[in-house]
Amino acid sequence: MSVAALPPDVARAVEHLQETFPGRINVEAHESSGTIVRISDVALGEGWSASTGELWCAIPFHYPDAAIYPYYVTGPTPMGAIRGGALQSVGWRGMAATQVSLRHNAWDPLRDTAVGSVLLTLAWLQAS
Amino acid sequence: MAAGVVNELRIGASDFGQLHDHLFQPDRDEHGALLLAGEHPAADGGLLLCVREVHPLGIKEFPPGEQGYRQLAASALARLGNRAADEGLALVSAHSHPISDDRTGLSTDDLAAHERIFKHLLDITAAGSVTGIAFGRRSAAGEIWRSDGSRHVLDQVRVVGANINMLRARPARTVEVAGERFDRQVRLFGAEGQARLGGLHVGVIGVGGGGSILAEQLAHLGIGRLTVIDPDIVQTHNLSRIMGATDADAHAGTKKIAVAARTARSIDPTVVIVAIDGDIAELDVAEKLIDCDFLFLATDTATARLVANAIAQSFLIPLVQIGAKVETRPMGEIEQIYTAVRPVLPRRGCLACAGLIDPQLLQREATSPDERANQNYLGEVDVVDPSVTTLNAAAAAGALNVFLMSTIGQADEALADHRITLTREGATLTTHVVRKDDCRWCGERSASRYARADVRLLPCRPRST
Repeated sequence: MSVAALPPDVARAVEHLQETFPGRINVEAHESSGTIVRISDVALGEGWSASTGELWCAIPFHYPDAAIYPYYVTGPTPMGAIRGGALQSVGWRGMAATQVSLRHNAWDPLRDTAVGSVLLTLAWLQAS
Repeated sequence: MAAGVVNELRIGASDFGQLHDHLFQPDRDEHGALLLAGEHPAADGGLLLCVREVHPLGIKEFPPGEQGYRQLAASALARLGNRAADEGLALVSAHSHPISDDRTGLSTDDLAAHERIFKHLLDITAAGSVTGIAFGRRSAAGEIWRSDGSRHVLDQVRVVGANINMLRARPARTVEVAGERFDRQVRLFGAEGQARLGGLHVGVIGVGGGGSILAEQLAHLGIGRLTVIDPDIVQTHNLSRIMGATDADAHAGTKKIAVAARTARSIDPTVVIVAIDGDIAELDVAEKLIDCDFLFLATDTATARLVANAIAQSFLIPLVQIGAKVETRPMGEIEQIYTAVRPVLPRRGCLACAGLIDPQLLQREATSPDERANQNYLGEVDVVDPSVTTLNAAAAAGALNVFLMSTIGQADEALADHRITLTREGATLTTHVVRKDDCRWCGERSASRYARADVRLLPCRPRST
């Protein structure tokens, strides 16, 4: 999917993700939100069946007015109890995935960004 | 250019106040200013300019001229021409004809100045147009040079505030309203007020319980053109609230827009109706509202609030959002019953400034049904909110009165405040929304979309290619 076809704010978010995770960003169209981003080869920490996996999220067409939520991990599965009950096994877009239900309850369109949200989520996953 | 095509400059009332105070000073001399404006070339060939910045010029930047009474200094043109280029905006030169009142026109000196500098200004700004306007105290006349080489008359300056005022080169011709249809209301706002209503294009987003009342009443008032948007069909549980809907509509699954159109036509067969079966979140739908003169928002989704608010601020179109709410406690007892009327005007604080656009709701509304089910892992049950026609009618009447008073020039500034009416108590709470400087929609900062008049910046799903 071409970044040029995306709404300007979404395109900028994708570009920032590409700068932060060079060569590891794949962008697909999504029927509801508009855009799905997949980040390959992310470090998940020790609580998972493998140390790296793929992290997915939707960037809604009205980002950054809309928050980014939830995330999905495909590949590895969580082992044992993960704190806070924030992980659920779900079927998503025909895949088995782990839904990461970390909501940005105080999302602020003026300050929060997709990159910041991804980094926070990864830090949480790695610490769990 | 086709007949009926309008070239318009639109400006918020507070910006116009600043401009007018500068142009018409006690010295009764001629003064000048440069304006930076977003441009929207309409599909019919007209041009809409929305003023984003007003830059009053001092005597050094608007000195006595060599070929006219005064002239724009090269330093001002370079400074603000470059700023316009950086911001992607068009440059508008404004000056006063201090002895003109309700009639004015461009002088031969004005037109000669355009010949000397407009081509260069188009080059510096790389914009689609450059405009020159001479203001009388209650009038405006202007000329637009477009980058395709064409030149056009600026037909009107629209000042958007609690009241909507039009400035033209000369006063509108006196009109008479034929027939008895509007006789009683003309006694309130006169034939000119009625003619103004008849020339308006009004958009209603959502024609369910509240919106169907808006559409019906707008037809009664005699507006000229009505655009209604709604993707839904009439169902049996809607029949207690949708004006004009019948059992047959519920059985047939008639579109709500079809009912609104039928009802409006039955009241006034001359009203032109555009019924759009779609969602304002789609760019193709949202952009059909841009040539409206006034908007009503009567849906309860966060996405519709976001998009309507964005259109209002980006294109300086007055908007009123309405709502009716019955809040209940967990055991079902009633906590609060209220109706809301929330006007949105340029530089007055928007729905985002008022904290009325929820990022979490926006996210939820952009998910598929399966994703929504996955995200509801705590098993929360969807609750159907109560909805009663009398509450919708109260909100709709409040919004329509804001529209009517602003259109006929009878609105007090306070009418632009948000109003919550507590139905059981009969009390009205008024909120003056304070604009946030860093608001993405109405703020001062460069990133704000205020008056940019750029369809591509609307927070909508892009067109499918």
